[in-house]
Amino acid sequence: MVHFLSTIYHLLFSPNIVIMFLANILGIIIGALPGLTATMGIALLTGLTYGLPREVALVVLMSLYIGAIYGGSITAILLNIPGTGSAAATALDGYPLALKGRAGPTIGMARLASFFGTLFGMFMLMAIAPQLAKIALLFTSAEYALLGLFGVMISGFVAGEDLKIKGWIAGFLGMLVSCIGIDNLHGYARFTFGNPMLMIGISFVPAMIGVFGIPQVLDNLRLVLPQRIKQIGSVLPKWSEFMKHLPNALRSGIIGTGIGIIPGAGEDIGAWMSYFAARAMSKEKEKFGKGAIEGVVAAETGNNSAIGGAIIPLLTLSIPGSPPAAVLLGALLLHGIRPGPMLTFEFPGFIQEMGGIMFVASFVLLICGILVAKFFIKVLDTPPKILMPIVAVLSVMGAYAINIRIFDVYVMLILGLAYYLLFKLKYPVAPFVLGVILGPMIDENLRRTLWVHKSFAPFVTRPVALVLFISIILLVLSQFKWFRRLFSRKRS
Amino acid sequence: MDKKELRKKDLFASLILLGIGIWVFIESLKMIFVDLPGVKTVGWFVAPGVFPMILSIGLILMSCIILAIAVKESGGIKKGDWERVKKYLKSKDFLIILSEVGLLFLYIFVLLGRVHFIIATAVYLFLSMFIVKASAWYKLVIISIAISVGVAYLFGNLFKIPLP
Repeated sequence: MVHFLSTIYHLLFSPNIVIMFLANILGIIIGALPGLTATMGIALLTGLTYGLPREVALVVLMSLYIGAIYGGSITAILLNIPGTGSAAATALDGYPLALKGRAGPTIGMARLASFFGTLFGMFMLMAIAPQLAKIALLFTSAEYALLGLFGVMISGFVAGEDLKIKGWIAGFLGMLVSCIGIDNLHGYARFTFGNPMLMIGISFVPAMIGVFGIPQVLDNLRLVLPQRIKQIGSVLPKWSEFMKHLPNALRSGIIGTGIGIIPGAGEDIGAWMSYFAARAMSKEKEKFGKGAIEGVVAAETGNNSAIGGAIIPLLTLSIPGSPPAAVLLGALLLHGIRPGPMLTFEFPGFIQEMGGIMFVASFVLLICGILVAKFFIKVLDTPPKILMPIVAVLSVMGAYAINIRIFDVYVMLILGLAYYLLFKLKYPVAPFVLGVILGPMIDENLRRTLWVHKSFAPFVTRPVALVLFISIILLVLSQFKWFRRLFSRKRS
Repeated sequence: MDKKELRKKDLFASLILLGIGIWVFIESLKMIFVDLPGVKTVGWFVAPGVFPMILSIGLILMSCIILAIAVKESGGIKKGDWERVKKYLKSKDFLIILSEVGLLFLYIFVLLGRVHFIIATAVYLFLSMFIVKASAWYKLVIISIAISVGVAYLFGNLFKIPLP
């Protein structure tokens, strides 16, 4: 608690508060601009903030993260184009409300919901993370290997738009990419083709910028900007109206945080699940999809509360709960923070520090949202034909800046182009990125377990490992019709 | 894209993924029987090739499943499909994508590192915007130069990152 309060105090009375405002505004703009995601924004800023002190870098990245998740709702409401995937559910009711001339109050309500969601996620982080860390200490190599695999598998499962198996293939491809380079246990060069640049492996940031950025550039380059709604009315928040939706916001906060904790699920799913729950519980279900403000509140609380949720497994288990959290993991590692069970011992008070940053950032969001809402509607006038080449240049710089290595830019482009083809065939990006990130952890822990125990037995004899093993098997079996039929028969 | 068309494309993608899976499997086999500490004393299952091998087996199996689904749901490849592919390859959309890919290669593999960053970026930006007719050419020149200088200042001067 002392760390939490001292972080808030230091943030409020230091120049970092100005940086926080700027990062939050940048985050909102990135989130609002179609084609730029929270993940990409954090990835770009991870490279750029490398030279900054750890505390400042965290302030920048967390403010940007929170701003970007909210920012997506503005384009979703005004243009029916979700700026980020997490705002897709917001567009369902936000845009019809905007068409009714309620754009301003809807944006205001979305901002309040995002503020509430971020705070809710932050409190959950502070309340649950230390307990989860204690449980995480019981984890051995076997559990870590299976947990990593479970993260990739569940990510493929929830992200798969077409066939779930495509999500898993994406995850497996990501893990294969992570195998390139010298392995951690033996120092053996794998898939390097004698190229010294490949010896140190594929950095996940260029890989991620490539698979997120390049398909967006190629796909959106030909887009014509849709008609913009010019009058957005008052964007000042209405607390009294928000309070009417408090039960909805609380439920969405719980769902969002819960979904955020699941590795790979993240803000997008958090928003959708909260939206579906709000619709299921509403007395006016027929209004949903036609302009129900409850839908906007649920989706925006859900996606922002998932931020706190996604950070819980990130800090305690080193397993990111969402793609932006996955990039945040990389940023923490770059700054010498090793998330995982030992975090509370190696960096006591770090979770409280993150909580403090999130607390201040949520209030900053409340102010920045009002300040910039009207301004960047003008930025949205930038046609994709001009915007997308700029995104490509930023992707190049983002990939280059991480290691100051032109080879990373080549990797970014080649992986981006290769993934563009898979992207067109509905292979989701998130499991691929999670695969690249979690691959080394799975590989190392799998072989360490086998080395120590000289058998595969620990994967099925240890209780937690067995639960994870069965979960993975059930995930796979759930895709077979005969298995589903077996359960439906039993139920009937 | 309708489901049948998607499955037809899945058919080709699954064959490529199957090929990648088989190649990784063969390569990982070479990494199983290696003279490394632990591999001889403990067993082959701690070798560097184990994880890629498991992944390759998974990839082969999943590619086969996708292939089976694609064969079942695509309704087979017909003569008209090839005509559609040929038509798409000649379409404006495809040419724009191809040009943009070419420009990205030109920018990253040829210009960056050989030409000053601002010039390289301005050339790429101008050509990218020009091929999609984003605006009048003189406006594009101004936008390209302004953005290149802005990015160079932001990254090079403000964030002190050496430019490529």
